Amino acid sequence: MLRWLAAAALVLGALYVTLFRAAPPVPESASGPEFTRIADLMSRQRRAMILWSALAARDSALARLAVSAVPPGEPRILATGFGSEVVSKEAEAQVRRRWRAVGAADSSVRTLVLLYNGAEFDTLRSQVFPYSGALLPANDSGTCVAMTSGILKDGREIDIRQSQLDLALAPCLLRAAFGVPGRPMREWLERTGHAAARSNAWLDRPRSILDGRGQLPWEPMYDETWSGLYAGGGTSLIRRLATVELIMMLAPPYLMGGPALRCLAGNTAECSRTVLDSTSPRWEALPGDLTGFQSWSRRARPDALVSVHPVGDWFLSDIIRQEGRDRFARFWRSEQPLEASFREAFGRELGEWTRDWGIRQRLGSWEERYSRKSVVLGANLAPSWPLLALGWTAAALLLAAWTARRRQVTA
Amino acid sequence: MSRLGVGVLFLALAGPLAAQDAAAWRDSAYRLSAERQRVWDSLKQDDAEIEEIARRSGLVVSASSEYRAFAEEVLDRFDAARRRWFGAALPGPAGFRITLRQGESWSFGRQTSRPQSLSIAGVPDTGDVRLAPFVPDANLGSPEKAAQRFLGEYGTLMMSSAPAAIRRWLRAGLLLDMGEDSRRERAMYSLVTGVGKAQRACVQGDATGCAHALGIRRSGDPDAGGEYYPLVRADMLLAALEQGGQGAWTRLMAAGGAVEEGLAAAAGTPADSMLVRWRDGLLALQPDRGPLSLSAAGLILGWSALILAAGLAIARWV
Repeated sequence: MLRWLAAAALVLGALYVTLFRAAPPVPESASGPEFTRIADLMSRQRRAMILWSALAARDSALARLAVSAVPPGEPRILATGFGSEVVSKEAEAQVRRRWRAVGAADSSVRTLVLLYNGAEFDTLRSQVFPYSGALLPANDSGTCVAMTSGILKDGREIDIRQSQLDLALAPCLLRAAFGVPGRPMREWLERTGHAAARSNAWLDRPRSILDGRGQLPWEPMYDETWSGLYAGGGTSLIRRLATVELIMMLAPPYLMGGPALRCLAGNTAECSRTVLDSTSPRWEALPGDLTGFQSWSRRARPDALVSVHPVGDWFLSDIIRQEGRDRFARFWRSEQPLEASFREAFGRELGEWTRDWGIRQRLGSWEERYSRKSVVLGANLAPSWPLLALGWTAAALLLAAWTARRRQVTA
Repeated sequence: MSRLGVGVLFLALAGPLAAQDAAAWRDSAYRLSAERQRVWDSLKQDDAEIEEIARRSGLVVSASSEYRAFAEEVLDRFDAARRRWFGAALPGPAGFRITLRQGESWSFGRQTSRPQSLSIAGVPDTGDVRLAPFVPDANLGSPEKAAQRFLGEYGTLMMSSAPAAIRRWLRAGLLLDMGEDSRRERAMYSLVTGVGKAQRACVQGDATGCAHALGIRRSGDPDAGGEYYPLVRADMLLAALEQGGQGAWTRLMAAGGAVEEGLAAAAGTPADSMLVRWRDGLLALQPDRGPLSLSAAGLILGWSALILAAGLAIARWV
């Protein structure tokens, strides 16, 4: 009896040393409802600020278009809300550089670059940039207005963010280089808020470089059940054993959504779907003639596991880089459905091309570099695992039996 | 279509509905901002019981009951640490105030314990909102941790007045809340494991390689390779400030212009000497023993012995 008690005490002691040797855990809930409320208010304020800046910039652009026509060729740069005699040498240089990289611009396309005053939006300290995107008037497919905010410095010079101006220029640069897109392309771009057409890397980045800045090929989104698990789930013992983290580390990369996973596993029909049905990150209050904007954080949604996530914003840029400008121009202007025009222009299926692109992008992503999760659909127990488990079990049994046999005492 | 026709169409699109929408979202943004500020202010008002504990060379520390015992020690630690890098410089003529707050807890919508606050202000403390970050839920478990957190916030305030070129170069701020040992260890690890040509040259003692890998000066060699992480830049800047002594921060602020000139002015030495000294300091931190601690090894052996003993004790020993 004493021996059993000693053994039990030993086991409990070992468990105690293992589980409680680290610093004591943080309190179950350290933040009050005010902080949740502040976070919620901040999120809504950001949304309101971006929509306000987008609509105000749109009003300015449409008013400007109403009184003066935009000439074809290199774009005009206009500043609004700053007073007179202001310039932005930085914006001028960037626009000039981009248009030089385009080469001979399409004569049917007219571009206006509108720099609007971001000072008032800045006063709200929302910690996100005001709207940067393009206005593509529905009644005039040849006009493109790139709109981004700037701040006046030293009384005369407008300070802009180059990355934001690039974002605004992206749709206009595509039109300048390849003309007005065919109807299927136009509809797809509008439906997806131009989510796949936000990179200008096709202008100057060599084909050999893997683009995407290490991001996953489909936008990662958290399923809301996971955040619930983190926020409220589990006892301190479960947290100590890092169960949730272990599950997240071992699970396939669900963050990209089920259709993307099936695409990576070789299902080309799903690959096409991830491009054609790419969900748009735009908000419902944004008019259809404005392109979408970049979201500032990973999003959570209740159906993140099963939904189609937006394809990477450098997708179209990569098609141009891989397939060349001439063939892309045919694809861009085609009046056939998107899949058929892709096949005709590039001699490959859209799904097949997207699968290869997705695999390449994923292999080059930070996620893959640091977690190396394999994409296995269905049962993911490798055949070697049960064999290994059975082998070790047999070895343990044999060892125990051999030990017991040695200790047998015959009468 | 005539120009007049196009104009009418555009005006129709820019009509009252769109304008009204922009105004509505503007009002909404301001209303939400005011509401957020109101909730924020109500949080601060909970700190009525906070009282002044000590003053030291232009700094005042105040605390609520739980932190009064170690408030003075926090102030001493904070003051010593900030002088090491910034001398007596302040973030601005209006002074500053940093408030850390911790300890409130809620259960089923009720507050079960009151928040506790610890605050350090630099006189004149005008209460300028821009200079008074309020840090919720800070971990104030010890004077060291509290001083560390104050230092992190103070570094952010100081950097906001630094030359734009230095801020752009630094990318991720000074990272003073990270803890010096942790920061230096990571910087050392980045230094010795960098694989780029310039990074390897830096480890070998080549100042030009270090300058390239830190993004201070381009080497001109197309094969020079990449740069270190932003953390390494923060470590470089702090090393330059430390090398330069009391007036280092003031010289950095006065230098303006290029990053290299600013850092050299702060360190008070030519840029190459500064880089070599920084590199020597990091290399001296290389570990001289393995990562397995005695307690971890003991735990592993203990578990192994326990499992072995349990396995061998299955059969009765007669």
